[in-house]
Amino acid sequence: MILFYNKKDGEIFATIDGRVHGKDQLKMYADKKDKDGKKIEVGKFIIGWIEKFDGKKTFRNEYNKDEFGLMKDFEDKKELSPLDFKIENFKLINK
Amino acid sequence: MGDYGEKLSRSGFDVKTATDKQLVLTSKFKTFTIVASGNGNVTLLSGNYRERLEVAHGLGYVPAFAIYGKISTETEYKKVPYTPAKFDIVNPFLYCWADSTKVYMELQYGIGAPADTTANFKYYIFNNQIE
Repeated sequence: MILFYNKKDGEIFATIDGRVHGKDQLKMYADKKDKDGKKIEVGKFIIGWIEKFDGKKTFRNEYNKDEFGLMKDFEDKKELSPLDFKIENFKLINK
Repeated sequence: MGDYGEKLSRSGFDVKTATDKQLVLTSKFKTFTIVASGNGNVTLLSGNYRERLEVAHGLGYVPAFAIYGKISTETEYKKVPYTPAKFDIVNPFLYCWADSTKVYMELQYGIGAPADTTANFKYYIFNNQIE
């Protein structure tokens, strides 16, 4: 899962679903403007694995393993959304 | 080139002789495949008319896409674009479009938002090309 957040206040405003992300999804990003109409500075927080191919074999790097349980909850529980969380000190905090 | 592909027939039909309608699956036809899906929030401040979220897909072509949305205080999702009844300009519009770089999701109020309003969007971007 890739989370996009406002670097200023940590608010998560967009996500990309999934546990394993390849180069196509890593190229993707989300944009939003602040209340003054200026584009916000966007941070990216990855939970899961990034898949890379080194020319011979595919390997996966793990990101933010501590949050895997929460990612599963986002997938399983309809009432729980990452958009209700924010990023603080590289941790997910419920708003 | 020889005959190739994949077919799965319905129960009771021989896959080697089944017609297209007797198949559950066939690689003969294109299917939609998802390149990415996710969620997004847009908050429209009181008195403003429109605000949007942009998701850059990097595909280099206009992809097929599907968007669902709801006002955060409501429970049901609507298929976007959603417009209230004709001449109803006091309720929110949910709108979306795509180009070769991004998918756009927008919350609009015809007469300005009566209060700060947040819309939640669920998006699906497909590998399939519209243009």
